[in-house]
Amino acid sequence: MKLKAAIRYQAVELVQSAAVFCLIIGAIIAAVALIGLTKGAYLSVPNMGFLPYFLMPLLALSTFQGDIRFLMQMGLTRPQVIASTVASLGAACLFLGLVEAACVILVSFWPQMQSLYLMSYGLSNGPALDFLFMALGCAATSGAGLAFAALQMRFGTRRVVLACAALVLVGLTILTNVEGAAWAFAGTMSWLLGFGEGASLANPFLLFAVVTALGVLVAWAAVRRIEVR
Amino acid sequence: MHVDDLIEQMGRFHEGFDAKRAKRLAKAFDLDVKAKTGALSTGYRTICQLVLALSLDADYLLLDEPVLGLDAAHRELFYQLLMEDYLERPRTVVIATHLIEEVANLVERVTIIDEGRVLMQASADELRSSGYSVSGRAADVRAYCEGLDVLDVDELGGVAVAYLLGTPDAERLNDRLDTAPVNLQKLFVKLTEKGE
Repeated sequence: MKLKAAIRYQAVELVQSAAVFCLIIGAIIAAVALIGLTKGAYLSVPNMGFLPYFLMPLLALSTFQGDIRFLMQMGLTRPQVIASTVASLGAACLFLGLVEAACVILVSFWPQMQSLYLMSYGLSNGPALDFLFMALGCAATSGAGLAFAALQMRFGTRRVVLACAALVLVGLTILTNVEGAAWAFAGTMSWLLGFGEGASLANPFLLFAVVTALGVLVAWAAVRRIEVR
Repeated sequence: MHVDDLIEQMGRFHEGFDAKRAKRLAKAFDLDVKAKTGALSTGYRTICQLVLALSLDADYLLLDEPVLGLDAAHRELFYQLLMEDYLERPRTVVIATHLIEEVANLVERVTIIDEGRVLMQASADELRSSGYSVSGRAADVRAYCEGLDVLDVDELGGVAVAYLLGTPDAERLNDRLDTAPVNLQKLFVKLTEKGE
């Protein structure tokens, strides 16, 4: 009963936030399209396709601390809190995927002007794969956000930010100083995202699934020792 | 989150939660159910938690400093509602408090704990009869206390009050000395001060 109530509590909040986001983005795209129609111009805002992938980790970060406190006060165990949070974030990601797929089907200019996946991987891939890409991609970024939020609560913001900055610095140092590293990195990333020689269309989906799983694992491990005051 | 949202959520998380009772109790305490929980004062935050606790259908209720931040009127109301709740639905209520005298008439058993050690454990009546106070002129009080188990003596301007364990010694008492049942708060303070 408690787990069900927890998922409902979190999912409603997250899906509502995602819905408001979709309305705002939809309004902007509609306004841009209208301007294009009235001016007889060809206007699009394709970069808005990245925004859901930024929204989800922000939602995970902004809601995690408050939710974990509330749910533990309601008597849920730490694993139950993580399970509820993952399920709720998953619901929001599925919602965004559905909205994306609906736009591909219903909005004539969507596939070639707004859908990040279809524009990158080909218009023939269809709404089902677009839905999966959006849902899994958002799940991956929210998994990363969830891991960051859990580590932040466990170790403190300063330590986590410094650790991330150090990792980025080490990475950049290697890329700039080791011969061929930058090319190798670019090549690997391209392959993982399904581009380049030998890459499969399944690669990005697998990448997103692995990142999601890692994020959830890190969050679960961090939450086990969290103290709630 | 608003107080009425919190009451609704409690009903979803706890099967035995009585939302109607919670709203009735909130009204009794003048708790605004439309207020945001984060914007409540310390006292009303405590009241909100007490309202939720009293509306739960739990066999055991553990209350840690339940009247923290409450004014006298609300404290009185809480004790009254707690008694009514207990009479309606007997359950085990454990209250951790420093305000012993306020709860002494409500509770069946009292345990005095100091630094993790149990100093005394008895019924409220037994605890009250475990000691007494003697007051009068300082010299008379000192004479009375000779050789007895004295917890402490407070002296001020030639008048003294001594706190002793046990029962009054009728042979030592005289017209210039008054005895009274021990104040539980004082007993607690003196026991913990002594570090026994």
